[in-house]
Parts: sequence; C-alpha cells; structure tokens
Amino acid sequence: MTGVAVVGTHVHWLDDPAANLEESVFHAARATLAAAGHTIEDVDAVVISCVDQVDGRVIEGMVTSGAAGGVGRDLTVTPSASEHALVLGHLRLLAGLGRTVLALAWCKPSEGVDPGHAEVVSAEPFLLRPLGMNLAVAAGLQANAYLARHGGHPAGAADLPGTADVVCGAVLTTDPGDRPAAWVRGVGWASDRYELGERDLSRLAALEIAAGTAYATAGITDPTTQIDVAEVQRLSRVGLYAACEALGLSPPGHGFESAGGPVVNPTGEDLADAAPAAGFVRLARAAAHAMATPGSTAVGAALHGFAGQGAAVMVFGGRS
Amino acid sequence: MNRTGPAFHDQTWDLSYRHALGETVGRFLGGLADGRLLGRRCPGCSRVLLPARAFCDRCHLDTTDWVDVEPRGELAMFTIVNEPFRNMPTPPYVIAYALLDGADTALLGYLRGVDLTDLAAATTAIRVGLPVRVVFADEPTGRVTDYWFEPA
Amino acid sequence: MTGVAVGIVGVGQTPFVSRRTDVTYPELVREAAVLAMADAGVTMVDVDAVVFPLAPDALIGVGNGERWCVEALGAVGKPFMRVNNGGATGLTAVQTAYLHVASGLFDVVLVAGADRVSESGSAQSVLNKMWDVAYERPYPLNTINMLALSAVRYMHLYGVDERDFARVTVKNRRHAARNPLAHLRTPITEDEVLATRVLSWPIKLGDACPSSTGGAAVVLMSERAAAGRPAAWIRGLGQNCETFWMGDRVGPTAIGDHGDADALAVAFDRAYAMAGVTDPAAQVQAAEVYAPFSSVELHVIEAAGLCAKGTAAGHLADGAFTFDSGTTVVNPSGGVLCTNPIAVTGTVRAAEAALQVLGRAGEHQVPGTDVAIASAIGGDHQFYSTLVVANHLEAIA
Repeated sequence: MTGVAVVGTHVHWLDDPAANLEESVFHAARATLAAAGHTIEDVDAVVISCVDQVDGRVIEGMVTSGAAGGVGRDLTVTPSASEHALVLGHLRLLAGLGRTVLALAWCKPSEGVDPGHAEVVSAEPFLLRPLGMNLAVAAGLQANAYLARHGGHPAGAADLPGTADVVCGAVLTTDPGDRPAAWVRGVGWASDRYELGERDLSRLAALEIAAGTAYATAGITDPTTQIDVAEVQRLSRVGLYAACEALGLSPPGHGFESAGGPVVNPTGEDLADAAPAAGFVRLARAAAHAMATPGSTAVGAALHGFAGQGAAVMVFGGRS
Repeated sequence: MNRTGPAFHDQTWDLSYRHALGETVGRFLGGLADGRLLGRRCPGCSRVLLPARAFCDRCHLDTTDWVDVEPRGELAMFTIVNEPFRNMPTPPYVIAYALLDGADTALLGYLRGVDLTDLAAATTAIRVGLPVRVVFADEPTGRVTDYWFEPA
Repeated sequence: MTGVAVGIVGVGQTPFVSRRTDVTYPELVREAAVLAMADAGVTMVDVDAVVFPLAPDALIGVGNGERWCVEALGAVGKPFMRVNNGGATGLTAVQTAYLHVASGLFDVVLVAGADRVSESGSAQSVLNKMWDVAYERPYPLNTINMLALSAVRYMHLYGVDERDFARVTVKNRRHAARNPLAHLRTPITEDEVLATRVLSWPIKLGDACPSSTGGAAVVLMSERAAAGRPAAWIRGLGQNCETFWMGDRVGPTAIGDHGDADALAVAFDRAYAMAGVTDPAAQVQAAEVYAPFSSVELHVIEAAGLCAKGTAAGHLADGAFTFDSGTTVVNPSGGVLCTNPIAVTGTVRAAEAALQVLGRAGEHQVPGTDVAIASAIGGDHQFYSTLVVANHLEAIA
C-alpha cells in the first residue's frame, strides 16, 4: 500500500476577533506550507473544512477557496467534520491521484452573535430543536450518562471545553524525502445514529469503531503499550474518560484512573475542544508528536456532531 | 389539529453575525468617503486588484502597494435585473463590472443614469465597452454602495 | 494510479418535482438510496462507506443536515462523509466516492442525497450570503444575474443573440420529454422562450432551470466487488477551481474570461488525460453537462472540447448535439435546465452518463454509447468537476 505521511502542521488560535477570516485562512495556508517545506506550486489538491452556520457564510468554500490555495487546483470541501479534510486528503493520495495535498480547517465562532444558537439550527426541527439541543447540552447528556453508569459526581458547566477561533493545516505527501514525517499507519472514521434518545451515551460507539479500523491497519493490538501519545478531543472532562475507553486506553469505567501507558493530551492545556475545527487540531497535534519523536506512535482522535455522533482516528508513526 | 393531509413545520433561521473586515477592507471603504478608489498590487503577477485585497489568490502571495485607481473606465459586463427577488431592491436596475484606468480587475457597481423604461432599447444603449465614470455618494455610509457608475 | 478499477454499478433517481409533501428530507434521501442499492443488487449491509452530497445547509433548514440522515440510510456505524462544492457537490461526491474505492480501503461505496430547493421559501436570499461580506453582499448578486453577466460577455465575444440561447432550451425540453423523471418536460419553441419574462437580461424565465425536489444516488464498486456486474467504469476524473472574483475574469490580465469556461476546460483536460480521450467530439457519444441556464450550455460544450470556442451556437443552429445528428448528444436527459435539485444535480449527471454507457437510458438512450462524460459547476462558476465513464476498461478508441 502507498505510504502517506504528514510533513508539516500548523495551528493558530486567533487572538484577535477583528482579524479578517479569509486573510487568516490565507496566512494559515502559507504557514502550513512553510512548516512542511513546500510551496503552493507543489500542491496537487486542496481539501478544506469549515461550517457555514458557524462562520456566517453560505457555501463557505466559495469565498475561502482562493485563500486556501485552490485556484487552478482540485479543491473539495468537507463540512461535516474538520478532521475529514485530513482523511480525504489521505484517501486521495492512497488512490494515487497526486503526490501532495494541503488540508485546512478553521472556524471563527466569534463572528456569530450567538454561536450556541447557531448549533441549535443543526438540530432536526421535529424533536431536538424544540428542546434547544446544542453541543453543550449534548455533551452534558453524554457526561451524565457516563456518570450514571460508572458512578461519580454530576457534570457541570465548568467541565465543558470552550470554543474559539482557530485556523489549522497539514501537508500530506507520498514523498517526504528527508523531512521529518508522521506516516499514517492507520485511519478509521464512522458515524453513529443521529437521534440522541436512541444512543447509549455512556459510550462513544463511533469512536470505538473508528479506533478499531485504524488500529487494525496499524497493527495495534494493545493500545496501552503500543501507543506513546494520544491527542483526544474531549466533549467534557468526563467525556474524555469515555473517549479513552473507546480508544482502548483504559477499561470501561476506569477512565478516571491513570493506567500508565500512553500519555493523553500531554500538554495538559485547556484546549478549546468545542471549536468545530478542534478535531483537525487534535489530529494535527498527534502528527506533530510523531514527527518530533521519530519511532514513536501517536494517535489522534476527533469527534463531531452532538455528543460525538461521528469520530475519526488516525495513527501516526514511523514508516512501518 | 389537522389529521388529514400532509403536516408541516414552519421554521425561520434567525442567525446574526458580526463579521470582521480587517484593515485592508476597512481602508478601501474609508477611501470611498474621500473619493478614492484604492487597489492593491500583487508582487507576483503585478496586477492591481480592485477593490483592495490583502492577498492575491492567483499567486497565493500577500499584496503590497496601495494604488489609487482613476474614477473612469469602461463597462466590461452588465445585466439589467428585471425580476423582483425577496429582500432585493425594486427592479429594474443595472448591475455592472467596470474596468477602471489603473486597475487590472473590474469593479462591481450599479450603473445609474440610464433610461430603463424600454428594456429592448436599454440593452443596446448599455454595452460592453461603454465609457463610464465613478460617482461618489454625497453622504458616505462606509459601504461599497457609496459609489456607482454613470455613462461618461 | 493504484490500478483499482472503479465503476458505477447502480443508480437511483426519484422523479423530480416542485414539492414533495409526503416525506421528510432523510426519507427522500432514503428513497433514492434504496433505488440505487436495488439497482446494484446490494443492501446497506454490503455498503462499506457513504459519501453524502449536501450543498448549502440553509436550503434544507438543518445545519449539517447530513448527520440527520444516518439512520434513514441505514448507515449507522459506517464511515460517513459529506462534501459541499456548491452546485458541483453531487459530482464532487461521486469523485470522493471514487477516491474511497481507488484507495483500496473500500469495495462498495454509496453516494446518496436529495434537495428540496423550492421549499426553503427564500433560496435567493439565502444564497446572497455566499458572496463576499463587504464587497459583494450589499449588492443584489445571485446565481441568475451572475450568469447573466457571463452571457453578456459571451454575446460580446462571439456575436450570439438571445435566439441562440433559446435554441438550447428548445433542445433540452425535447430531450426531457423522453425522460420520465425530468421536472420540466413540456416541449417549447424558440419564440415561446423569447416571449418569457426577463429575469436578469439576457436570462429569461425560459432560459432558466427550475427549483427541483428529489433524490439521487449511485453505488460505486471496485472491479473485484463488482464481480462481473455491468458497470460504467470511471475512466477519468478531474476538478479545478477558478478565482472566486468575477471582476478578475475580464480584461487583458484575466486568465479566463467570465464569458468562457476555461477553468472547466482544464478540469476536462485532467479527466481526458486520465481516460486517454484525445478527441472528445469523436470519442464521446453522450454528454451530461451541468448548465443551469441556456447560455451556460454553449460555453460548456466548448469547454468539453466538443467544438471550438464561440462555435457552439452555430453548430446547434445547424442541428448538432441532439439525437440522430451524428454528433455528441448533449444532455439527452434534458439536463439541469429541465431538472435542478441543487445538491444532487451533479450526481444525476453521473447517473445519467452511467445509464447511457450501460444502454439503460430508455427513450433518451443515445444509441451505441460506449463513452460518456459528466460535469458539474459550483460556486459562482468557480468549482468544476468532470467525469469520463465507459462500459469497458480497454483503451478508448
């Protein structure tokens, strides 16, 4: 099978809400290419991810395609999940259509007067929207379902991650040359059912499936010993435990405990995991770990939709 | 409650945004109040992009110099809007792009000062290549509609 | 190239109409998916992954509405990915599905979606938000007048008139009369088109596509999984983007004129190179090419390499591009001009091209079709997606 590697990543949390979004995407594209030692001319295709109702632009790929380096190139927009930009870029290179792909994702919720309300319009109109379902509410339901099964104190608002403006990118290639490379050893993605009432929210089923597929390809049979670092998007403090269990990093109900093994979210910082582009950020960070420490194996886990309806997992490491 | 026939759910999306324009766009809009049309040059292809943009999407480079573009040029394309659309102005009106002296890209604007009472006659009076001048609003509002085109 | 051959082995389309008051959006998607899977001889159990075409969320009223459709498609637990390239979405989705299979990771991939454009109540004001915040939204730009501008350029460049555009509508309605699934099927004359009310000159109601509701789906398989099923093999694909800024498409320093479709020609060239098509006019028998207005079809025909730039109107007036003309038949289904369910219009193009090479297009079959092309356009005439399909895997003669 063709090998595909990430050779550069870039993550920029925007600190100035007055920054123009399209210009921010442009700068992120250039910074990502620079980090990878590439120019836009080397790029065969571009894949981007952004969400219309978060950024207030309809068919957002239109006005941002130039910033992303898409003019004269094949460009595809995958709005369902920021991490899909990386996944699709990877698929394209596996399929042999090109050598180098630029993947970008971003979100600028600061431009929404009420981002939580923008999430409500992602709820289907018959059952969930009248209830005011949004990401925070769904995350709370997930956390409390986990706690109801495994015991613990009720989850509160302080346990929820924030959202933020961020632009991020990665360059994937089949030909890294001498550059530090995070080879994609395995990838998996999946979507659970939409209606929350029909899911067992104490588990993250889509994440379990995605991890299973990624691990199988990567030859990981014991995640607790074969993975060095994990970057895991968290729905909440409690949601992180559920995610670690779905990733096989700890047994069910034992996510609270540190079982040794992989370091999860090593920088310990309070990442704005509720930002729509945070999934891409987590995968990019995992790739960065693998590039920084040759021979190590890093896993990135991303979630999207209410209570992690969808998930993607990528395993990065040495060539094979 | 209606128990026969299809059921419907009425819904309106009421989402509000406050979009950040950034310095480059802000300066272009401010220039209109001074009767100036500001473009930016790309160091790669040397084009003067009007209205001013912070980067060139053809070369994928930051633009550099500010360039004052002349308030005159020719129509590159136009259309006469005849059909009312929800939340749009009352027709008929003309939307056009004009290539102004000193700019490489055409600028979007209304074309005013033309007789639109007879549509057929208007489609010959207004043509690609029609010389136009840029007119600035007496009381600018800080939006791109602070200028428009009129036949020169 | 990995050497994995990928084919379209099943297609499904619901009849396209103005409204469907009997189904929710997920149910409409499911209808099309069930048709395509039945056509392919599979069920959801056999499908390895799903690609979902959905253009602006605002038109169906549910943000990220693709997530709402997982259960209806029976796709719970499967890889599920949505694409949105504006009007090109439906064909970009087919390209994305191709990548899924050609990667070697999946054998059977479903593309399924739907649209219900007229039911949003304010499609044009929704679409106003696709324009640049400061420089364009204050103007009443929309999909109709943006292409009226293009038509004016085309008229200026090549000396055509409104009757040349009307001929396209006449041809496509005649074709749609043979297609029981098409939305607008009533034959029309040139004079009738010319007499319709002007929307944005030169585009009149008779030059414009309808707002259609309906679903479309296709099933792609690797050669191994197809196991001898007849397939419309995807021999080539290509995408390209033009600059978003329409003002950049005129003048001496423009790369492609707004009146032409040069960036689409580049996308076609990429697909043709992959497929080994060197003379499209001679080697392609049927062309399902996205054109939501009559004027657009002329420069699309040229971009597809079916005739030289600026000559499509003359050829059309001479009787080309229709059945029994001895030339490539353009939009034998009636095309987008007669049926436009935005999110899946591109999928319909792929489905129709597949039906042609499979010999299953019924009354609108172009006899002897071995090679067909499909294309779609999205954004402000900005995103281009192209496909070449054939009923065999040998070199295209």
